Amino acid sequence: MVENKNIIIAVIVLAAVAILYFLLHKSEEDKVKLQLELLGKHVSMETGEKPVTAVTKAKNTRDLFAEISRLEIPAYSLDGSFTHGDISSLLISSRSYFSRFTLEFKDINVEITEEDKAEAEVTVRLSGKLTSGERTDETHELECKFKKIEGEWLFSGITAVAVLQK
Amino acid sequence: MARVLAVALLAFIFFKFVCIPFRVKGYSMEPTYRNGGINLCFKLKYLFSTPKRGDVVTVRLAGEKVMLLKRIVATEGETVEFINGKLLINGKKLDEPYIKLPCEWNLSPRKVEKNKVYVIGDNRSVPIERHNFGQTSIKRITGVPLW
Repeated sequence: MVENKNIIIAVIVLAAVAILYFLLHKSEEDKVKLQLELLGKHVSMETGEKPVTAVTKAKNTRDLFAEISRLEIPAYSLDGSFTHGDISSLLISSRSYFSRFTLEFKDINVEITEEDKAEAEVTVRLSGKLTSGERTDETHELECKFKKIEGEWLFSGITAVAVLQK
Repeated sequence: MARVLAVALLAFIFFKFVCIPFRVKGYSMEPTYRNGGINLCFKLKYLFSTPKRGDVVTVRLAGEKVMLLKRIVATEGETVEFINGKLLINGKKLDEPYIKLPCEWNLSPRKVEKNKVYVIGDNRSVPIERHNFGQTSIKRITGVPLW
């Protein structure tokens, strides 16, 4: 009877450990997804955002990117290599067009292509209000490239996919 | 218990592979589909048929959580053109009773490539450069709204 009791306790403990492992363990794919979520959080802007918040968010956004990243997003006239400084400036200047906006990533499909490289296909949704009062609501498909630098997945490229070609 | 599991399984299969519930976000299909409207995307519509002009379809992006809702105006080999807001297919004006809002678009003629369809929203009252439309692969079409 005592033996049975010990076996049941051991099974419960093992199950608890397994559940905790699955809940707390982050795969490399999860870490890449987290970077996308952070990008959305840092780029988004609330109504009446203070300049100091904008600067902090620009710094946080910049830190998600590799030293030099390739951006190809024709809808925003972006095509070239961007340094950390370029990304911060871009983020600060683009905020002047909006009174508020939200950037959300959906349908995130991550593939670890090499030990230190990953790619993600995502749908990005940008919704908000321009300073002119007009609403904006855009949806794009993006291909994001990542490099693992010092243990952290950093964006090394973002390319817009032409889903609809005029 | 078994009955509950069976119902749950059937519901999962139905809402994942047959009819995906969705909410319209945005104004590009107004007034046909209003912002905030609830609908179901019927995924089996093109199991035994091909998309045709006039069909309202959902276009997949990276996945099926967020899709575009547009109307097919031309199929492969056809030419699409706008003159003073009027849509011309192969040089002939297309009758579009679903267009209720004013349109002033101009677009030079372009041919729809093989295995593609040309899709546009019903709300063409915004400037042409701000409306997301164009030709897309048939493979990206996931279904049609049920109503």
